[in-house]
Amino acid sequence: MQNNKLWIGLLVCGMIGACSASFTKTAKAPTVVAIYPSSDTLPENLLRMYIHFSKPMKTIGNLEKIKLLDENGQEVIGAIFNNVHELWDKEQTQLTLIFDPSRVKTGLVAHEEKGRALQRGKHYKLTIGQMKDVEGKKLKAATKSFYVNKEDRLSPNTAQWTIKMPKANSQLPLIVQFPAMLDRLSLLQRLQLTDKNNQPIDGQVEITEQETEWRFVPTEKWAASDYILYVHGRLEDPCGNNLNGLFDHKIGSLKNEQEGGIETINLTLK
Amino acid sequence: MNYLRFSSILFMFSLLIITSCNQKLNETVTTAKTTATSSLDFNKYTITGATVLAFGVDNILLIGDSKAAKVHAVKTVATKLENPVPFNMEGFDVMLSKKLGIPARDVIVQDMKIHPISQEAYVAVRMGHQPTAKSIIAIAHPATRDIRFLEINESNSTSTSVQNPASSELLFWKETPASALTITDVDYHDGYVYVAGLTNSEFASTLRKIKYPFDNTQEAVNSIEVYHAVHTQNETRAPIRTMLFDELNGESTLIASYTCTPLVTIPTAAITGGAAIKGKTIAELGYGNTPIDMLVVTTKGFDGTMSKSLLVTNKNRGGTMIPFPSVEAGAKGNGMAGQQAMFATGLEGINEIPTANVMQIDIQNPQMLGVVRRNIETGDIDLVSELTGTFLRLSDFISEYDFPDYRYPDNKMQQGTKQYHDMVKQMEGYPELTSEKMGRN
Repeated sequence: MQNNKLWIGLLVCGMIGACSASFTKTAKAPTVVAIYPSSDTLPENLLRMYIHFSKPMKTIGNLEKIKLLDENGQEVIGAIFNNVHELWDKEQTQLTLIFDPSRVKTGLVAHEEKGRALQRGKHYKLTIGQMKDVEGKKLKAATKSFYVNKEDRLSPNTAQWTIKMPKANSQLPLIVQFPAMLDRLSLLQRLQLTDKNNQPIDGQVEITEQETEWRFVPTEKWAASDYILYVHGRLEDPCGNNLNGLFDHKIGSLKNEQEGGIETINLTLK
Repeated sequence: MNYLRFSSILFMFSLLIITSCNQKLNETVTTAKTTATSSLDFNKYTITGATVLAFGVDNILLIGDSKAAKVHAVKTVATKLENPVPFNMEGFDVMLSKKLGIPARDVIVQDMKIHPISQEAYVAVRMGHQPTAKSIIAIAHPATRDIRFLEINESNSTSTSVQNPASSELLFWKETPASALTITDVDYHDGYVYVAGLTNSEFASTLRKIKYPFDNTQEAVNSIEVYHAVHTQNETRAPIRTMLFDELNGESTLIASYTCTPLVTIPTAAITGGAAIKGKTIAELGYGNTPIDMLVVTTKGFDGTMSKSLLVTNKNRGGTMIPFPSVEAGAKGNGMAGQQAMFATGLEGINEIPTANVMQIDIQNPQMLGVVRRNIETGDIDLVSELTGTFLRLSDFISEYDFPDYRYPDNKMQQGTKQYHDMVKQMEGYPELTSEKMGRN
């Protein structure tokens, strides 16, 4: 009797286990974990967005499944640039969206005839649906709602950055604050912290405060010494404006004829 | 106007071509050993990724590998195929899937180029959707319809990295997991391999000029500004989507189509290490669109005259065809300027051609284009040939001509149409449907 009970108990446990196992399996639909820029107010000349997924996704045929809707729920046709090669990272968990540059830029036929997809003073929704992960599982649909503000026609400028320096012998973050949001991925690539001998410092970078803050936590304690923060001229904001000039600029207005110069910011920690 | 243009195109094909097609279809052409399905050793044939292909000097195959950020140059072995033989490989993705032992949904065709000597189609195929999925180059022969695979090893290939930074940028040379470069086009010209790319984080032109044979040096990344000469005289950074080199007004020129579809010309001589290049916008090919491939095609007119055109296939529109003299006039001019851009697309004689389902296109022989296309009826991917000039498959259409009791009127125009239909039916694999076979002569 005792044994029977044990067996029944085991059987029930086994069934629950099997059910929960299969439930877990089907429940693991891919989800959208983040959309950048993370602010809910975006400029009308926005060029780029990133969508992060919980699992590796299929990398073809997705751009048709991402829609921009206006305040009436109507799709804004031709807003997202339907590129031949979708722009995925190697892990296939991050997709770059480009707003059709021919509408973002001034002076082109599309801009003149159709205007920008995003209009100042209006609300929009970006909907992401029906995409599939590499195993064919459907994405849990996601939406980002945002309000559109005036266009951003300011180049990022290092002179306007605020740098909060940590104390030497601490592991507190070095914080660089920007007056306006910068492109998240560009920030991860285009800032480099070194010691005074140009040796890169090991540490963790975090992009916080809706991409207006770059935080660096060193692996080892800061020394009471000089450090250099290198900033690559191609550092962009989400509208494609970089340190060298605006995405859509007048002839002769670039700081340097040749793109890709490097600026240095000297830091002394005490 | 269009009708006249089309009728003149019809006459450009001689009966000689029809005969040669027939002959060649029945002939067995062997180029290299066929690979047996069961014993396919993937290690010998696969590479990390293959986004774009191009043939270069001595018919080396250039493979743009976005995943590894490399360009591979692989020697090819080919037997000359003299006569124009069409591709009629419908359900090409299914054929490939059987050869590779993977489901057809895992066959992802990324690019196709035709071997200049053998007329074989070299097709870059990604096998599966996983981030680790590898690529393979399938080689399809038009006459035998055989599919083999390109072996890639140290003895027949060389590679170069396309991310060698300038020394001043070494500090930024670190692997940022989320950043990626997509090689959008590769082209060989006069001792150099040109590589165009698009990064997922910056909207900048990345045109690299790499000496071939590869010697681990490459010229600094060029910064290209595109001049949009409308009233505000604005310029923008812009990544190249597809490009080719040709001579315009006697000067070697890079013709590039951009991700926001302006057509731009840059003198090849201006593309030197580190120079800031100004590209001249000579046309806009339409918004909400992205170009796939660009070719220079020559068609023979009714009166025997040859005419050269620039052909651009698009992802979201039909193809664009521009008479070459217009392109030359554009390159000679000041670029799109003033109010013109509001109303016109920039060049004289721009026409749309029916290439809406075309995924990849290349010149196969003087009469034909090799085409990889999505068949909207079956959903399959087909590898087929189309006549240069008509840019369509007659067998896609059902018209009055196809009814058995139809008789072609006895006038020059309709007899010409009949001749064209009979030839194309044979070309597209329907020899039993010619007028003679249908008994309607």
